[in-house]
Amino acid sequence: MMMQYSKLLEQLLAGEFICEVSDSQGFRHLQDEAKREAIDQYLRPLNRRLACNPEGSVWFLAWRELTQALRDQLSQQFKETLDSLIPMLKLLQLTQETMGHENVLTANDILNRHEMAARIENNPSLRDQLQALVQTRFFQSQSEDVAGQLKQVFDRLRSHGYLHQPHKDRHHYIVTGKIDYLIDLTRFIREEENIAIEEESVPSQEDLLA
Amino acid sequence: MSTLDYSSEAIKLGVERLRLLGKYSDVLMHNYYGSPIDELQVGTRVINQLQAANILWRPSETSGLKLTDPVREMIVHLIADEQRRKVNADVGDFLINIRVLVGKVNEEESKGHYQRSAYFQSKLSQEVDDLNSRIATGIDSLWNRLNTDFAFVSSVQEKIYENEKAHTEVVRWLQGLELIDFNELIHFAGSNAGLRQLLVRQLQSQVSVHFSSLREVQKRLSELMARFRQQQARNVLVRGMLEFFEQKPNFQPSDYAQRSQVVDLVNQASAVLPSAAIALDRHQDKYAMQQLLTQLPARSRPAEHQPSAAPPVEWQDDATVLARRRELHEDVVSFYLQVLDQQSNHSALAYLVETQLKWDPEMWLYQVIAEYQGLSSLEKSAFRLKYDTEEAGPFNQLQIITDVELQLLSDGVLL
Repeated sequence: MMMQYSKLLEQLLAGEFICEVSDSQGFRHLQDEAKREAIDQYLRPLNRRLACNPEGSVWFLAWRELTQALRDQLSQQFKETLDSLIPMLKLLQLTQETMGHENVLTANDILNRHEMAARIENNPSLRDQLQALVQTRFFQSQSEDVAGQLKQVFDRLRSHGYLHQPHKDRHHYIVTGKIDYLIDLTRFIREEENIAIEEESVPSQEDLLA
Repeated sequence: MSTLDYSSEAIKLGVERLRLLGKYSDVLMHNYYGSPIDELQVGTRVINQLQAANILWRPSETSGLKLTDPVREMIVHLIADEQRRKVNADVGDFLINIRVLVGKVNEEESKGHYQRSAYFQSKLSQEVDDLNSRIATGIDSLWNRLNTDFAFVSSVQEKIYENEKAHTEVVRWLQGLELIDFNELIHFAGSNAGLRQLLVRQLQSQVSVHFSSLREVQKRLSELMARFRQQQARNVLVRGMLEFFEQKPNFQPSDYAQRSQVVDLVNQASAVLPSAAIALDRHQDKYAMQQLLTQLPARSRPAEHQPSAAPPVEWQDDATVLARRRELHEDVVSFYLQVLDQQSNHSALAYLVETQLKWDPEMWLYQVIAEYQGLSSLEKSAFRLKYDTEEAGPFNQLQIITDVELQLLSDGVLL
């Protein structure tokens, strides 16, 4: 019975995030409550369970029971994620400005590395932003030119599961649902720490429907 | 066309004025996009013609000429300019006209003026068609805006505004359609089959189609609005948090993993790398294994002449290590000698305890076994090593040597 999920289980156990982009078939399995139940049952002796972000757009494994040692490991892991948070948010901003997107990158967006490199090449301000980005520990690149720096950035994003490259020899990448996870984590920190953010005032949908 | 003959003057006028639109289309389109009309260049005669045709008008003495509402509205529809499209969602007027016309139809019919009655009935039919096409155009325009994600405006903020506007439009249509009371229409139609067909069957089925289209549009608008809001929230979040981190570079959030309730977002189990190997004990896998074996790349044959070997590593034993090793060797030899002296079998570990030697038991066993292996075959025939073993675990059949017993043999037979 578990055979049909073996690939999905292996990916989950390997610490991967499953979303529609990274593994559409696995993601479909996870939409079915009975299948989730079966997988959870299997994971029980491994002290793991399925977990997802608030919107349910990305799935991963969480500890079932927390011991002090596991908590310490989670604290360490959270610190590492925090180290990557600012560079990642800056990257989102850089991409938005470079591609002239009206919105922050979101799952299913397509990025072309060559196109992005060409645009950054022609804009000194974007070049400076990329230069600053590759000096962070998360993206560090020794490369001098834009193409090399951007390649390193994309490689890091791919290895961290933020980008999916459908064809190894082509230069377009699809943004995965893990970016949703990062945004949700950012939102969580913001709410927990009561960080005030200036928002544009918008009439609410309720007013409109009334 | 024959029914239109009575208003041939109107037709002539209509054709003439449509021509005017064509002739001055350039000037009119410029005005549509906001550039004022240069009256001197266009000429007073033309200006007067356009004003008389109700194409241009002058809102006040001092202001310039502007397109009249119907013309601007027509251009909006012709070029599907969603940003400037206005929909007349007023169903009330329609209902008033219907009531008046139905009254006239029934009145003429009761007087026996069937031709007059038929004329009013055709007016009624036009009125129903008008309403239908107005609603259909309105719904079309809504779908058009939906399907392009309101692409005619660029920022999310504007999209949200446009979505709200479209939403109000839908609500107005829905409220208007609800004003149509079919019981009243059934009553109007009475026994008149023509009216019944037009007002009840035809209109009712059309209105119900419009209702479901509008509901669908409403649903899609809400979904799209939710998406716009989500995008806007993300944009604000990313920008705001970056600003915050810039102001407070040393900001450290609390350690959420140490709380009594740990949210899933910070509870990510560490990775396990599952691995598997070929099971040699399963007969049914034999064929698959053979296949795998044949696919292994052939080993390259070793070269005829071995490359000259590297000089042996000079093992510089530390003096103390050598001394300890010699000590261990001598203790083990004493163990062997004692067994020979006493002519009885003896456990290696028991000897270690009895003699209170300080060797690590595992190291001791290893040396006892090594010593045995090092004996010449003649000497070996005098002894036998009996291994006491146990399995490493209930599911692990690895045999671990727990002790060895040195036994004496005489001509290959135990004493």
